[in-house]
Amino acid sequence: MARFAVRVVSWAALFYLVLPLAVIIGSSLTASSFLAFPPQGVTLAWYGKMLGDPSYISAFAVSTILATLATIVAIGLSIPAALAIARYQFPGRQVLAATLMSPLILPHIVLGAALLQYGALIGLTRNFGALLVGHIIIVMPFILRAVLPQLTASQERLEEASADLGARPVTTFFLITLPQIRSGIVSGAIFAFIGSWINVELSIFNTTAELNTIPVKLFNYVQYTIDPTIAAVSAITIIVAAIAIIVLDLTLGLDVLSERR
Amino acid sequence: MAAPYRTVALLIGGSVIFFAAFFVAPMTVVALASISSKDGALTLAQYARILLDQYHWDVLWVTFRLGALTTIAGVLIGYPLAWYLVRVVRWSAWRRVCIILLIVPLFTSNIVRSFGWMVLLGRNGLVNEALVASGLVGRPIRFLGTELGILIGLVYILLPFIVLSVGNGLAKIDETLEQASADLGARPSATFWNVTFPLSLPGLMAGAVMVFMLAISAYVTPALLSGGRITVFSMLIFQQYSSVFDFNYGGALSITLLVLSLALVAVASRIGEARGG
Amino acid sequence: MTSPLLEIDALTKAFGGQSVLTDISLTVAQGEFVALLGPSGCGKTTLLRCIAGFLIPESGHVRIAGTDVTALAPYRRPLNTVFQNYALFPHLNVTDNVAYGPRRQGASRTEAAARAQDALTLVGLADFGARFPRELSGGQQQRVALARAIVNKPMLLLLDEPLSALDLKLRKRVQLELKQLQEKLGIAFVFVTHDQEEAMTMADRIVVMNGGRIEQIGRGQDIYRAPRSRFVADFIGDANMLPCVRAADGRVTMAVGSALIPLGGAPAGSDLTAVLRPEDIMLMRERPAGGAAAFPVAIEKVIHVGSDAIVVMRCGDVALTCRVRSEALDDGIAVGAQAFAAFDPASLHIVAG
Repeated sequence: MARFAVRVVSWAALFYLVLPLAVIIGSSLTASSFLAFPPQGVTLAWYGKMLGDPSYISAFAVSTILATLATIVAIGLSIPAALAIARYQFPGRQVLAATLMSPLILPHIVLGAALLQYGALIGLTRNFGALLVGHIIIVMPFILRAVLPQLTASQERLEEASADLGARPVTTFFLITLPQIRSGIVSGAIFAFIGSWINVELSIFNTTAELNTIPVKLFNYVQYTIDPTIAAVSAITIIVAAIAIIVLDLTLGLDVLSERR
Repeated sequence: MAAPYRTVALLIGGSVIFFAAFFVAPMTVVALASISSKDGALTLAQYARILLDQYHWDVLWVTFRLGALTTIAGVLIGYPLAWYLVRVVRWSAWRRVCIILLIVPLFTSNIVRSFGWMVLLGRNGLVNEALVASGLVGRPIRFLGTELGILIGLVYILLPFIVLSVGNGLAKIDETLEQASADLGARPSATFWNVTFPLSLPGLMAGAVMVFMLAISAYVTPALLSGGRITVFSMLIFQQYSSVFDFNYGGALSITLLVLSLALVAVASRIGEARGG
Repeated sequence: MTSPLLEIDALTKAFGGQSVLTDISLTVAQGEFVALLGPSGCGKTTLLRCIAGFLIPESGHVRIAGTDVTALAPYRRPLNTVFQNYALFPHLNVTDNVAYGPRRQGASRTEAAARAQDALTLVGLADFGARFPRELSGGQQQRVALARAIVNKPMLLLLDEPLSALDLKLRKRVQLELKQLQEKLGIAFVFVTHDQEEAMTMADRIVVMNGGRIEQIGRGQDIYRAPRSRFVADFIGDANMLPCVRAADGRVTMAVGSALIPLGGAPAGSDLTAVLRPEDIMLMRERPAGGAAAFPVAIEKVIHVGSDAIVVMRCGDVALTCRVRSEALDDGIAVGAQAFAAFDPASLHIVAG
């Protein structure tokens, strides 16, 4: 029965999706000194150890500030561009849209390498600014992708009505356009924040021992040793992801696959 | 609308300048470096070095084979899961849970997800323990450091993209088209193969292309799960930029990966358009 | 006695506890053209979907040519549907759309294409086979949907507001074409519409529905002349609704302004309304002599529609309209004038409510 096969594959796939995350959270609680799953005993000691290590705290701070700033700048650059692309015909419009979206499919390792080489030429390497420009580039497509579909023709009629009633363009933008695309900006911003927060391929070229992001620090660490502290740090990032998703779900609704009915 | 160029220029100015400075310029630098020698003379020696060397072809072959297998496995698992979420699940709370389960991995770093598989796929990991305990295998299978291990990790990381892309496509299909098919005498299986599946192809192709691109350019997952035994193309690039510091050769490697992947995407989307109507 | 082609027996359907169809019984004869007519939300489309098999009723039966198909899957039913939005397969060209049905019945590719070509010729689209649905106009799409639905030669064709997306002029033309085609094919049509003129133009019988129930079944003229309820009178054509009172002795009188007109032939009940069609009213400057009924009115508005004039007037607190030929309108009948609305009491029809 085809229906039965679909169910079995789906349940197996869902199990497959949950398994590694469950293993990480589980093994972060182990009382043993080595990584064990199922955990042997339950303790929060590894979380304590992580909090006692200033390099982790600093990496969390760097990642958070980086993701926040990158998202804010990306919104500032993307919204006007989205308006231009959605509302005006101008030469190079398609090229602009394609270019702004291209970091989504471009190998990040290539982009990271390019920024490193270019940064070396203009003196922008291994500092926060170098990390920030790269992250802005890779998160802008998330904002554009979320906002562009909301700048519809029917919304353009609302803007015309606003202009007709005597509102200046800037007033129309803040009173009419912005409220209509707010949900797109919020969801785009969350995706952008996370896209920056989890990035390794781009950051890895510009991080140093002192200026490190959480995923890069984890990456460097995991290649040499595996201990329950790593699991605790990873578990924290999973919890941040879960919180972001719950925020998304509560504010905008995540039931993205049920337009039918 | 006649373009008020001043307005357009104001709106796009910021992003154009930023992208020109930090995207177009760096990529141009890489492209120029790739066709230059150490002393700055124009040369195609870097490309010759890549294309005339069997080793690079081997690495490319591994990279693209992993990309293709990841895409195929992702489609085979992702399509039924998308179908399940859109068409089978009737209880919206459960669908919501499923979608959260699908997106949590997407919002978690590749490192963390691959790390989970490093733990699971180890010699004494849960997977081997379960396999041995169930009697399916006599002794633990080697996953880490094999293409199978990398494949498991890549499929895991990229599966949500296929599911979301196919799911969106399926959700958009007009229900009355399937009813029309049934009305004309098609059994459910005939309706699926003649109406639903062809109409879901654009979503499937978009998801598959995305997964293939991300799979062949993935660095973290293969680096962690290969245990240094298998090399994919992105690792070659990283080596050149992080330890060898040969930017000319590294640039040529970057451009090679870029051109090959974009070419494949172009071919795939051409096929998708032709089939999807 | 041969059994009717379609027999619906005491059918009910509910969505989430909300009843949408209540006790629907209806038969359709071989080759008959029946219109399901009612306002949106009256349940007419739900009924059509129960016949097609996209919905399974809670109780009651659907029989086609004597066979109970109530719970049968849509693809096993000997009928076809023209969908409201046409539901043409966007990934198939016109020929493949029309050949879809024959192919599913096992016809070879060439045979299916030949049958598709015949059906397309029938609807006047012989040269459009290679086009895709998105390359066609609305009217052409509608005809492809029709060709696709008749190519399998079903016993029964269901049409769900198939003309609602067409503009008025085209709709009028297609109504006549559709009626001719139905007569030529001899297939029974069950046609859902909310447009009473459309139903009147095409259908042999009209089923008027409201609130999930059948209000009345009959020929268009019969329903117009003798509506069974206030709803039907109001929904079919224009009507003046005049309140009636039943006196203690059981006699019914119509109270319009200060005029009291005795009436006969009223149904039981105390709440009664007299239906007076606008074209049955004559306007006169003087009270007519003799037996004709009349009451005094004040003219409020005169609207010229083509060769007719619609006159809006008032008698006490009752508003009335009448429709007359423009040239028959007396010079003295103008806004603000007083006149008499005269009518033959036999043209009155009394309904409950």
